[in-house]
Amino acid sequence: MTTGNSAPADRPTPTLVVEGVSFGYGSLKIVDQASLQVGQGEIVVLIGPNGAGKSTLVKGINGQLPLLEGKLALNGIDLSRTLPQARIRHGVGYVPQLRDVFPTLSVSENLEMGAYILSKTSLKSRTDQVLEVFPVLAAMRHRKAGSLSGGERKMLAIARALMAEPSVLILDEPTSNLAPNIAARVINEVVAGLASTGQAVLMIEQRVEMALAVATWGYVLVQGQVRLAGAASKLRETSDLGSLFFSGGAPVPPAGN
Amino acid sequence: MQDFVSISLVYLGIYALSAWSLNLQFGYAGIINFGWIVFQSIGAYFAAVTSIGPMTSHSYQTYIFGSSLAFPLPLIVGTLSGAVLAAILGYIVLTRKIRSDFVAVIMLVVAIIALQVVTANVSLFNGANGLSGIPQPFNGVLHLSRAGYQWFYVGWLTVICIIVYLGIEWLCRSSWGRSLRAMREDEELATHLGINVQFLRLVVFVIGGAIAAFSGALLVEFLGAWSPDAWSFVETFVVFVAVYIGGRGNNRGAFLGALLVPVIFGVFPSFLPAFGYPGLSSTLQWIVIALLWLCTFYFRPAGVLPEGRLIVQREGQPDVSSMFRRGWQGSRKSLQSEGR
Amino acid sequence: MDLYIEGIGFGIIAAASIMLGAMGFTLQFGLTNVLNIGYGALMTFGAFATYLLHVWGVNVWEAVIIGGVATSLLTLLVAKTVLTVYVRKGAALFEMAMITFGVALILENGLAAITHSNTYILSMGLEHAHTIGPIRFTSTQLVLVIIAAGVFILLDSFLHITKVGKALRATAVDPDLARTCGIATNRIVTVAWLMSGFLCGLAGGVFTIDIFTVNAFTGDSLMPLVIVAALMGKAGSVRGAVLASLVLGIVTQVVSIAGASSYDSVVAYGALAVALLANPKLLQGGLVAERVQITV
Repeated sequence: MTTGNSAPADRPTPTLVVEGVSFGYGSLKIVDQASLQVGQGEIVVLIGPNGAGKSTLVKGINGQLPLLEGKLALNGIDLSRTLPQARIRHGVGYVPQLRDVFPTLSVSENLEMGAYILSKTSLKSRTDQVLEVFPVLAAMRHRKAGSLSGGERKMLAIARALMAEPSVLILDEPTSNLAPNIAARVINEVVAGLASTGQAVLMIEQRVEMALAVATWGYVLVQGQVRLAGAASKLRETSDLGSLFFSGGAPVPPAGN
Repeated sequence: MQDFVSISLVYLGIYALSAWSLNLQFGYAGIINFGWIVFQSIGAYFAAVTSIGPMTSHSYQTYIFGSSLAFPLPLIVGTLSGAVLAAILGYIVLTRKIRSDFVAVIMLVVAIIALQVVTANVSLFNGANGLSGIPQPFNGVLHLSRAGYQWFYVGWLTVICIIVYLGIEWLCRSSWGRSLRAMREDEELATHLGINVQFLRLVVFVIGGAIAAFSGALLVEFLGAWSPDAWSFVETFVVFVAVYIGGRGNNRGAFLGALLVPVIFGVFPSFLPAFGYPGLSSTLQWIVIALLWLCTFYFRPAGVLPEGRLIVQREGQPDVSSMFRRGWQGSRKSLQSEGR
Repeated sequence: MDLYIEGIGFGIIAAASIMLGAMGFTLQFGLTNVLNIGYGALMTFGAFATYLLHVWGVNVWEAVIIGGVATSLLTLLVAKTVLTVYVRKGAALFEMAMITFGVALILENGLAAITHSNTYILSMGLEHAHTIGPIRFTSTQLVLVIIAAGVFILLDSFLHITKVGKALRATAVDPDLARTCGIATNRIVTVAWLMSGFLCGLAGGVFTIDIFTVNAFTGDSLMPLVIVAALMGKAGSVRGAVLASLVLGIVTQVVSIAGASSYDSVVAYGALAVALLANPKLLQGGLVAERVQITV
């Protein structure tokens, strides 16, 4: 297992490459020189204790915070300075943790907004394609998004992000407000299903066990820094992961490969 | 010439009290009182109707009460009326968490409704014509000329202003005052320290309302008359501008701001030659005040004499409040959600 | 009873100007979060534009539309120059409200200085009245109501059928998520200012035709009801604003006709105070001043 960002031969070529990025406010760095990468078909999880900066890192990738240092690129294109509303055109598909749908718009209107950058002609076919993945939503096209249940809402949020055919789908704690059985469905069925069709997925999750069970690779973020990175199977076997979460201090020496 | 100096000084005193009262409500209690003028008015009206004497058969005005209380009772009644109004409104507004501009609008609406009710209901305070013939205190006793009385009033107000200023400063420097400042900077921290934030805010708001009413009572006793013309939103706006220009949150700054108002409205026009059509100069005064406000907020949003900031810092943690003021919109929320 | 029906008739006519103003106000407030107390001054501008064009021989209805366009441009100018400046400085929500009031003071008093505070009459010529039951109205008043209704239908369709309209609604609800979808929120806000300004100018023109006078402070008499109507509906909800305008228009006219005319505004403002206090959206913010959520 490594603490760095070297790409072992068993990982696919990366779609999203984040190198040494820092996000923060003035002298305070919430994310400190973090590096990660996500490739097609991978489910990469980002785990760590509360306040580690996971959400900040992901918001930064989406362009909502200015980059203090480092660079990030998607499909080889440097997005470090790109405006937030332009990132989706390059393939960033971000699903926020909390405010993830437009509650006063209907389900189909939400999807339409997800397809904002698409032409009118592709809207219909793309909507049909996405609704095949989420048949539950097809029955509720005209309902206001705010009236959906927690699980349905999260499905809509993910569907919305998929409308623009993102190169990387970024999910910020997709199960945070969901009951355990729904959470399991979202992760085991929806997310795993998407990856199996080749979608690159970067996911922040607090349900570490559940997430590592479907993931292929993982990064552990503690106090803004990537302390540990490795194949999900290896991370699952790490017994002192918990101490790493709560120590926040000295990095855990590599457990031998 | 003498006249306008003494009158300007009287207005300086009144506006100083006004600015201090608004400063308490806004800078310390944190309530955006866009209806401030209604507090000054209620003090004026109640002082008026308790000193004007009863209606006679050939009275040309109608009003409630109508006693002839001796000095200083009308002032006290006026002041208390402001305190009561502030207690009621403050309680309504403070028991819910409302965004700042909605609070402002609600207070403004209250002022507008009050204005409508008083104008429509002539039996209250003589409607749109207002009250006149209000006796000036001590006039019968002192037998001064008009100019002399004005200077007397200047002295009277000076004494009052000094007392009020010292009182407010004492309040702000006491442990109560420090609690107030703490809660202004960081409401959550203040709550955790065990300070009953809402109650303190209410108390401060009431004191501010009382002082505003006091200023109204003093003003009406000087002018001898009061009518709805005197209480539109622009009056509140002027006092807000005075507080902003002088420097929010501190009382010397508020006094400085109060100085500017009679300068613009009193001194400035009397030095201009009469030009244009009648009424042009008052129109221009409003433009000047508006420009002054816009420029001040642009160049020195903290005002001429901003107070030194009391920075409440948790050990080892960054200064959250100053970060917030630097304009990072989500910083506070995202910091909280990250568990800081 | 006839009296009340008459009141309802007058109420609908009064609601025409309120509705136009309220739709514009709520659009702009919903998107930018700025409580534009200067809206009245802009309505005055629209009223004057209509009046002047009419005096110069333009057909009065075309004058209203052109006045609306002129107001929309002025509104955008004010928003992009003055308001943006203060938002960048980190002004709090109520400070922005005061800024707009300052701008209004300058606009209206400037107008007053130029016009010497005169009041002008906009004459529509002699018209004959129509009647529906106890309600009497002129052709002009009918046209005013038709304009208001027509504009509402157009606006509502725009917001619910067109892509830009939906993007506008989305941006009003959640600008961050809108940007995540690739919506250029700054352009959407520009559209909102233009549309809101146009409606504002229309409201001023329609109001001035209804009361057939105009002076430097005309908008101020309409503005309180407009703001009340807009805030009674949800911020950004055009349908809510229209409904509230109808209610306000009818209630104030009926109260007036029932003999308590001086209390008509009290009823309106009382309704606003109650609506604001009962509105669950109020439960936000605290002691520290909030920042405007969007750049204007």
